[in-house]
Amino acid sequence: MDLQALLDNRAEAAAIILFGIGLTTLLLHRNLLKKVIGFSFMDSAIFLFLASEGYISGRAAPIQSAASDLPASAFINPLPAGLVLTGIVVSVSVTALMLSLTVRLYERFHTLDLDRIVRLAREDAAVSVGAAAPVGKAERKAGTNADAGAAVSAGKAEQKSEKDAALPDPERRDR
Amino acid sequence: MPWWQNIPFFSVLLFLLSAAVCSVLPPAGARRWSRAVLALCLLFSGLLAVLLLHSGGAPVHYRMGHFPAPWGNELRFGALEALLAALFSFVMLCALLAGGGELRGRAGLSRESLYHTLCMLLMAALLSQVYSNDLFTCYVFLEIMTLSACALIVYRNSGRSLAAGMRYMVLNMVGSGLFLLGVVLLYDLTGHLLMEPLGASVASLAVSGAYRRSLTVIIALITVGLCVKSALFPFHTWVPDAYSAGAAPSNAILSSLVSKGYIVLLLKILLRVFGWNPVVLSRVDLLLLLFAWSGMVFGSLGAISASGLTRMTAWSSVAQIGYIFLGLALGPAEGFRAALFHLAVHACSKSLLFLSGAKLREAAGGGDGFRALAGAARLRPVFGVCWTAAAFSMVGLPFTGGLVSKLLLGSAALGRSLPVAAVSLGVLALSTLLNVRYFLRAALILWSPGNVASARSGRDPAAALACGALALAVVLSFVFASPLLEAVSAGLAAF
Repeated sequence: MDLQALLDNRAEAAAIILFGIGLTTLLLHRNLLKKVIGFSFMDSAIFLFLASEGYISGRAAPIQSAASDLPASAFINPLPAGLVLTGIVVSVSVTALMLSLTVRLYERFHTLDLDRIVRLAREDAAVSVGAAAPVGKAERKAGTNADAGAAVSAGKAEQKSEKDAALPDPERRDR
Repeated sequence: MPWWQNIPFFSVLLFLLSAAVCSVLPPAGARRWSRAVLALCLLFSGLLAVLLLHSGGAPVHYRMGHFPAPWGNELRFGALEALLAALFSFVMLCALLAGGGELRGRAGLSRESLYHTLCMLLMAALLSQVYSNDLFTCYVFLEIMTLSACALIVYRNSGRSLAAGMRYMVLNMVGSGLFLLGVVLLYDLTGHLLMEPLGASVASLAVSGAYRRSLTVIIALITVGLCVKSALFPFHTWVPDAYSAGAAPSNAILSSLVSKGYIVLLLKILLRVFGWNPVVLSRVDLLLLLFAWSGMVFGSLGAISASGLTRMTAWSSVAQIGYIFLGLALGPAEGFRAALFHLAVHACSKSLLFLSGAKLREAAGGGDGFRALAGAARLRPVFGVCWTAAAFSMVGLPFTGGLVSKLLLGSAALGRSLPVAAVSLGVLALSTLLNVRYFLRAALILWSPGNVASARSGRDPAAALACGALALAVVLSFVFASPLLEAVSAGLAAF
């Protein structure tokens, strides 16, 4: 392997190494937050790669003004920047969804360890096979209370009962 | 330009607008709106397919924006794309019709509108992937599809579905990362994002022999990325949990539309961008064959050991994705035709299995275990018959489309070299035997004179209609196999 070639393409090489770090973190780390960080790393590495490919040293930013009549060869390639921008939007929305899922999972299982979460969720399903029925009942009860008129207190009761119903059995025992 | 060439663009736009509209409509309104839009899209996509088939089959390039081919963005469609759009709208319509009751019953009323919003968004993404000719546009809509699919999984908001959604996201983001890296490297190598200029560049690179290693890496990255996303065998780990925790319409949509969307995109890239020879040179076809073979066997083994009906169906999905990839790995013309035919048959029959299975479960009291389901089909014979028809199609019994696709796969395998053909046929036979084992066992349990105590009565004509339509599609794909195959071949030639 030619070292000079590696040095010339250091941005690309760094991007691929970062991509590998991000990918392994996303895939292998148990902690959900670190998974999200790994995902962010991975996507940023691709954007670094794209941006460094689009840049041509010694050329101007691709902004054409009426006064200047420079040829296209005087500018850097504008398309990768556009792709990076689009990619960032996609990456941000994915990160937002993954983080919101993480928040919900943490509220329910009080851990960020995905393996543990999966185990707890399976145990939960095994313990309460007909879980759907009690949840529905609790909600309905709270709903009829609210109809009866005691709006404030019933609202609280509804919130509480929903929370109780949503918690899996192991957590209820913990509390 | 004739008016009908606007249909693909406007169907994507209509679904995007419908997503916004559904989010503000009350549940009943959103339900009616989404059904109407899907029926409209089904009608016009079918019309487009007929018109394209009759106009000689030449593909249409539809320019988006002001810039011509090598720079601008465009849609490109032939008869096959239109047929796929019609198929996807049909399956989505049936899933929403048959699963509507479950959506109303389970979650709060206000969230049902959001479910329809997600479905509309998913359809927009799916159709863009089918129609778009630009690789980066495909990537963006791929992610939109992944996000809406994840939201469909966690719709029930139970601990299990949230955990399954997270696992789905993790593996899918790995797939997306690999795919995106592949696309970026390909852009780096060729300077194009539109598929036809890309294809020309890749072909000239393959001829000159330059960048052979880079090209191999790119082909592997894109193919494996899409394999991961479509839950092919070693990357299937989220499937059983996600399907057994999800609502029935979500399962039908995930198994029949989302994973199929990725496969269609892969097929498009294999045909239009890489061409088959570079793929064979890079040996990625052997990799696909290995994945497909192991998926067909291990998916079926997983289904045999599954404890409940939904889990069994989910595992069978893993096996069936293996069948489709076997077709892809067997190469152009015959193999691709078999893959596409099986894709269509599987989209109909797998969604039918999930939807009618959910109805049977509901009749038997809600439990998913086989013991609880004994005799469920006798309580709801309509859904029982539909489920059985779909199961027969999975096994590949006569009078169902499954038989045709298995025969096509077999004949495609015979065209390959002796070891590949031998192993493919052997795996096909083994997987079919395993299919017989678990589907017939489930069918026998469902039809057995069981003692189902809590027989809830409840009529759901919309669900019966939707399941009936899907079952009819499964049978008709056998009866009209030869004209369908002709259309698929004509479409493939212009794909």
